[in-house]
Amino acid sequence: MSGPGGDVLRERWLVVWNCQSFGLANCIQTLARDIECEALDIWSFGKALETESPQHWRAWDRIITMGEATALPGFKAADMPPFEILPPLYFSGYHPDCCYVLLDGEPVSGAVVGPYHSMIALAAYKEGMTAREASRWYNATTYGHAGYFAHWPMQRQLMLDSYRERGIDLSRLFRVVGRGACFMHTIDHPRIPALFEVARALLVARGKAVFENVVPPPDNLSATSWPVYPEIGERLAVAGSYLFKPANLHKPFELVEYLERSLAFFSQWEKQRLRVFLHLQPQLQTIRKLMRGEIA
Amino acid sequence: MSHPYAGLPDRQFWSRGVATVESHLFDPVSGPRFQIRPGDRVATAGSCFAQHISRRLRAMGGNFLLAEGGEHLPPAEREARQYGLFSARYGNIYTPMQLWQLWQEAFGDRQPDDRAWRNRHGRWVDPFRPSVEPDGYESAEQVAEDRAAHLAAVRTLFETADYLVFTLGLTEAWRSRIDGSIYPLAPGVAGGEFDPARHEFVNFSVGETEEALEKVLLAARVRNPTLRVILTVSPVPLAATYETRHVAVSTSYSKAVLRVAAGELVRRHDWIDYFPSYEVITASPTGGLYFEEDRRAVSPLGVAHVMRLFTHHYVEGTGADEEAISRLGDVALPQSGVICDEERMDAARSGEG
Repeated sequence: MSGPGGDVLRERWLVVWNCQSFGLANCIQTLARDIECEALDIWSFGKALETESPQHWRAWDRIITMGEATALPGFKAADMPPFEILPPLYFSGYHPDCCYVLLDGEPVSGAVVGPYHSMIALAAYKEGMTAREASRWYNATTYGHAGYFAHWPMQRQLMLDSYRERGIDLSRLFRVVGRGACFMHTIDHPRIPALFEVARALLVARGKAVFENVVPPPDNLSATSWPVYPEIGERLAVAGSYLFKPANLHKPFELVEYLERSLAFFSQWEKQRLRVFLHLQPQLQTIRKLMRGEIA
Repeated sequence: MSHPYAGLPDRQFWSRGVATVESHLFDPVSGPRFQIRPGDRVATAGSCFAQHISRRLRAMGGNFLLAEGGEHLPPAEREARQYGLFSARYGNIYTPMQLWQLWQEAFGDRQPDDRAWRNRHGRWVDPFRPSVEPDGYESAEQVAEDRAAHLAAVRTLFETADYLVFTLGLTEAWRSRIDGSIYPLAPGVAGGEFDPARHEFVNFSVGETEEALEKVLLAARVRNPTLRVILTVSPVPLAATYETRHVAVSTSYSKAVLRVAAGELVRRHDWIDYFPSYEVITASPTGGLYFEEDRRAVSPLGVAHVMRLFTHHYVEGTGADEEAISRLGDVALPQSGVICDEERMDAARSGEG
């Protein structure tokens, strides 16, 4: 697209996602030859909807957003420039034990790895185990019973399908980016190469010119990272470990130390007040049954 | 328009069997000829890579045949002295010729001239398995005594195994000019002394490799008519070549010879099968992903991939537990810009050609 003087008229895009907003916007900005891309996270977007006029949003040619944003009070599709809904990356295939723990229904944060917890650790807490006792349950048998090995193929299909529905081929994320590498920091924090691939696939699908061999932007979600357990990684050609990196620190804890801290964190509350999201409760129950010897 | 590639399965096309498959899901096994059942006895032998197969099979439990387990030793000592490394304590068997000579010796058809060598510490070693006793033997008599026990275990192994998994390692070897004995290591490396008048280098041809392999497997089958054999080729490159060329070039020669020999035997005998561990590790679908920093040793992840496929395809009852993972589907792949008539077969199959 050229202006009257031959100068390139760049499209202006706005990404309104969750904490992945800035990473994706930076990737689009880096890759797209003719697009200027900015970001707002969904929480700031919600506030801005209350204060900004429709004219404000029309400064952008296109908004890439998530379904939840369109349900916000104050969101009026008619006031918005063309927008498309794209799901942020959620992928528990590498980290099936990583979960949010709810205290009276709200996620609790401030444990070892920010808001993320080990479901096995929570089960062990509920079963009254010590850290050393709990550590013995981190093995392939537990993972098999808990269905952990099924996460990767299931989540992969969900992700491919949800993007394919929008005309975007995300297979390169698995064929190339995920080749011998885990592309997620946690269940909902992708590493920057994954967002880079989402951006590339989106731009290609929308017929936008992309630069080849360009350096990706910095990874702004690397503060928290969950380990790929070796038994899980072995099946995915990813080298694994039981090293838990504390949020924003660079000295990882080994499994038993992680569990000591995690159990101490949980012990602030009565066992029954700590839960996981509804869809994960069968997994948690299975692990607890296994620990109680109710599953052979 | 009809053509011979119409209707062939996905695995026979690169675009569907490789290009659109994630590396860790690459599965080049097709139509295994048999399945190992609970209670079947599986023996292992071969080169360095066979140790991985052996270790994993042993860890899986009941099927591993251990004919020479060193039960007279404390458990900690057994491993150091290579008991349990393979089904019998023969150390690495790199070439089919070595296995054939071992067979002949075990069943009384051959007696090598070399019986015991001194090592650099003045101790004694077995020339045909020089590293099994890390501290060496006290005397030549001890070497002979231990070898007799070993040969008895080899006989038991061949007579009782339901399956033999034999990993072909390489084609280069050192041979006695006196009686044609093949050594696993060059004389002088771990014992003995190299003497050009008595020792010579040999790099086996396809014909020699195939002949030795067929001889030993047919002989084993005569003695044990229900024995079935799974051949593999080690993906581990040669550590060194004595040919005056680059070690990588010698590696490709060795592996090609072994692969052809294995293929020929599979073609001729329905009780022999080929398991493609070589392809899993070395072919472009996994593209070096499974080599360690030295680009030679295979990483635990690579071994895991190989053994995942082995158990999935060859061990009865394990495949059903695996989650069926669908192909990524038809994806747009970059074009190479090279005219490739072969690709028309694929296009024709999908109705584009």
